[in-house]
Amino acid sequence: MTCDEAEVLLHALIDGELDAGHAREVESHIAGCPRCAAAAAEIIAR
Amino acid sequence: MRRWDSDTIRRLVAALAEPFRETFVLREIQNLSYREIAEVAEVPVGTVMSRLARARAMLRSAWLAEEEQPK
Repeated sequence: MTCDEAEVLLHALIDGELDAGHAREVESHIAGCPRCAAAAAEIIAR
Repeated sequence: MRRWDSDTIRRLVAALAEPFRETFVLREIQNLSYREIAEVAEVPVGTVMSRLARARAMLRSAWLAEEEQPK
């Protein structure tokens, strides 16, 4: 999964609209990508 | 940070380019699900997801640009 894909799916995850399989993929991408982890923290803080 | 200003938000949302404005309004104001938005807009759910992420990013940039620029 690319960072761009992860960011789009992260919005869906936060909105509670992502299926479990994709949710796991996003979570594992974020776990291994400091840049996306920072972006995720910022989106959640808004 | 300036205090929350509903007129500013309304103006910035109105200034969003279509189809991002439509997607944003259906989600955040009409509270539709992604599936419902997809039906209304006649696009796949994946397109709804990307439009919404893009709409939020554009709105955020516009908001931050406003804050830097005192009226």
